[in-house]
Amino acid sequence: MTKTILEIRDLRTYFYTYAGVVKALEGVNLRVNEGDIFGIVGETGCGKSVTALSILRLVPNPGRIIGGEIIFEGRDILKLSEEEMRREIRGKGMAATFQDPSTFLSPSHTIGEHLKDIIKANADDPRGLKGRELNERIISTLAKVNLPDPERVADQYPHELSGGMRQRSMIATGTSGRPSLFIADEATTFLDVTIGAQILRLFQEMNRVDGTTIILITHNLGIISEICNRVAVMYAGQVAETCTTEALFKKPLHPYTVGLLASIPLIDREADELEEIPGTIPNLIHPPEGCRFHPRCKHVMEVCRREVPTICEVSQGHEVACHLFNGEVRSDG
Amino acid sequence: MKLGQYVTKRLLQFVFVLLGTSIILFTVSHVIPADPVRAAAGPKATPAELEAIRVKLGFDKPLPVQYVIYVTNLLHGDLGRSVVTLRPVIFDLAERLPATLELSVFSLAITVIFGITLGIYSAKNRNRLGDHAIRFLSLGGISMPSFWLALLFQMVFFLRLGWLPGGGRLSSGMVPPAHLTGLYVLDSLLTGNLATLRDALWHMIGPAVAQSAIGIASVIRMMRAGMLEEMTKDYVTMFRSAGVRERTVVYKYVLKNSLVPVITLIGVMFGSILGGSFIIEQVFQWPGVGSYGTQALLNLDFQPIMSITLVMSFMYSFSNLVVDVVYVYLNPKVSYE
Amino acid sequence: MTTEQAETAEATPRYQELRHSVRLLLSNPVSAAGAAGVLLLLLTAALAPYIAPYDPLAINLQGRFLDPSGEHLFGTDHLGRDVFSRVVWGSRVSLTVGLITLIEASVLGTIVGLVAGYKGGWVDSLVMRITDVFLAFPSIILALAVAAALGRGLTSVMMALGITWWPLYARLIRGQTLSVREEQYIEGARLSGAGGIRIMFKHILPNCMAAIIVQISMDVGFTILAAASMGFLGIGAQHPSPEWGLQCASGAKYLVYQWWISTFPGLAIFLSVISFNLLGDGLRDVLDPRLRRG
Repeated sequence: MTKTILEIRDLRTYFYTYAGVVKALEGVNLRVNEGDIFGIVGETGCGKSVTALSILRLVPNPGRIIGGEIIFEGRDILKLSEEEMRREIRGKGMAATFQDPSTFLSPSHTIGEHLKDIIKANADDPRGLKGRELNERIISTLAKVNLPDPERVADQYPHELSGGMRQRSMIATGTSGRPSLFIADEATTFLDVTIGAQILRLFQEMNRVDGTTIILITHNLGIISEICNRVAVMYAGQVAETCTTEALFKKPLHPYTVGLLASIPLIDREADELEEIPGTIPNLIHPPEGCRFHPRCKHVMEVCRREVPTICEVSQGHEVACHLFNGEVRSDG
Repeated sequence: MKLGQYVTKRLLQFVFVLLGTSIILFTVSHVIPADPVRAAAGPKATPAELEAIRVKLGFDKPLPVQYVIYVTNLLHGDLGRSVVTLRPVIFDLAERLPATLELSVFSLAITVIFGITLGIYSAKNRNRLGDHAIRFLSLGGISMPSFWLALLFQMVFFLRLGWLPGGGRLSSGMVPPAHLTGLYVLDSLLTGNLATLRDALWHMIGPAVAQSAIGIASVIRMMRAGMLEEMTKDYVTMFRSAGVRERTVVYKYVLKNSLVPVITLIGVMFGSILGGSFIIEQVFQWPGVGSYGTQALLNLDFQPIMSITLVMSFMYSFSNLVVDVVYVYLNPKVSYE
Repeated sequence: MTTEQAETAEATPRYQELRHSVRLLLSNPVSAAGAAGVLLLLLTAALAPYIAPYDPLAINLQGRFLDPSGEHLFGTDHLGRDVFSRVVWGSRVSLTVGLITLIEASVLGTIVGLVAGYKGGWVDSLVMRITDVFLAFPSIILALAVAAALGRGLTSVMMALGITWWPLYARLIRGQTLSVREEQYIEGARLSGAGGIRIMFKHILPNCMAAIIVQISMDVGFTILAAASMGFLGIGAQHPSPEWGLQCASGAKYLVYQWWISTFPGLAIFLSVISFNLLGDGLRDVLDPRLRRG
């Protein structure tokens, strides 16, 4: 029986800006099992990164998590104090890597310095960890992310490394605390395809060898198909559909998902077969009433304009938030 | 490029700037005045003296030749003669330089220590009472005329309260320490003369505070702004996501990254301290290059004015050189550009 | 669209942005205070003849060293002149020097900066080296030397400060030009046949205006300070001008008992400079996002 490592229920994160309240996440629901490589896919602005930051409780000003539950390894981490969060969850329980390693590393410190502080912060006995032992930990962490010549990298500054090495170093910062859950936000977006592929191999290794659960956030469906076993499709701050990767490509249900897949150029598809989803992503300060996708939906019905769709489990492990599928088995965890 | 290469490149630039400085000052002393000969000789010069100056500095010759004479004189240490003290300027400067150097360095040290510390405090306690007070004071600091602050200082701390001396480097009756460097603080330390040390320091407080007010204020403002901006940087999020203590994030990572632009500012502050020495030394009767310059201005003693300008800009350029090298050392990224 | 249309399309939204900026500026109490202070200063200077109760130059040896009172708000100085009137009239001197200096510096600096940034290459390198040399002089030292060479007086100070300040503007505009130069609409203008000068002044310059305005507003305070410092040192305005720095210097001897002679002119400088700085800070905050986009 697979254990749930992370469950998000009805998460709401709002940003209180001068222009108005941006309802970035409006009821996000996710369930990630131990050992998954779980993909979160969606267009820019759909709230994928905000979800990642919300899980870590690092939503920047003027944002705030205003409702919902995030249950990690059985505990609702939204109820923890900041100090408990820092000491017990971040780094040790869950960690992350972000998309631009050049800004997510300090330009004035060596990679080794970065890792030293992170390892010490997450060690059970930080005072006991010093000198040679600490150094060995640093080197082994760098070696685990497949960095050639880790001793050298430890003494280098971020700008002295190539893009791929920087990304690996950043992944190293995330794994050095030995977390059970690792969140990778657009980890390969700024990299060459070949380097990106190596990073994806690395994630697979982490998952297979250490049993680390990985949440992979991306806008690229190709990456999803390569290594993820389960996927959540996000649209305008909500989860439209959650299913296995296979189901996503073979049997997409939500009109948005269908539209996404129809708009990808594939080798065996003619150019004039590409379909565009009409319209643009909604304004999150004044989002549409009812289903947020309804203004662009081919199958829009009267109820879609009025009511927010509830989540339905259409088949084993396949959930959709769409009025087309209401009346089927309701999902309640 | 490595540090060594950068230093070489920077040294070349330094020499170039010195050259340019000499050209500008040459223009100011030989081309701009309505009557450069009279300017150089002083308003009270006799016709004989005027003639002597004309020949000596080659005013009858074409400009390029004049410039060559000018530079040759400089390289020989001939900075002209003061019509007030009647001595070669270089002697006057050599005598007065230690006093200015001591005060400037002391002021710079105060600026750096208080500016950085208060700037960090302000950033850490953003929008709380301490921050508002500091911000208010630093706004005042950069808006205040240094001579006014100096005068107020004298008025309150000397005339009314008697807490600080009225001027000079030592109290009357105090004998200066053995002349090892000319820097009273250092000399009295080296000779173990604690009474003189205390007296010298006591005399430096007034002028140093008046001189550093603007510097401290500027550094606070830059430090605060810099740190607040650094705190929004992505690597802060990364460290937080990895569970690192906030204290480590701020004092090790944010601070170092914030200090980098402040280093350059400190170089500029040294320049404004040098420039401000004219006024401060005058008000506090500090026997340095600044008060010498003020006297020269009042008497239109032209050659000392030119020479002081030259010497000060050389000192400033040199300190900028040092600052730039330190900057590159602290900020490894730059050396790769 | 034609160049004409492109230009108008750029201009109109910018005007609306300007009005929005002004409103934003005034909503912040701190910069509003600064604006009020500046306004007060401008009014004082403009209405000096009506505000000052006495002739600032009128010597009255019977009424020397009078304490501040109802008759003489700021007391009288060593020549019996009313300090309040002198301070009021002094605002004209300080403002004139400050503004003229900045106009000189910004005009000269802008032209040089535009050319350097736009042409690039050796022209740019040359300009950079020249500004390097000018900026190698600490603070007001060069201005003092130039003013000494030009002879005493306010005009010398204005010219000297202009010479000292222009490199800052040249560098600022050069930087802005460099970043704007690569923008698409410049390319578009170039392709539609616009010549270098036209591009520089009609297209690049408007985008630099925000930066120039912010810099000027931040510098007015400092130029007033610099001019007052030079006045204090005796190289600027000459007796009997009511220049604030000069007044502080005259009153320095009498600090013990007649503290008001130096204190009030100094206070006037302080308040003026602080007002400009507050306004400048506010302007910078308001215009900054636009600066980055420009």
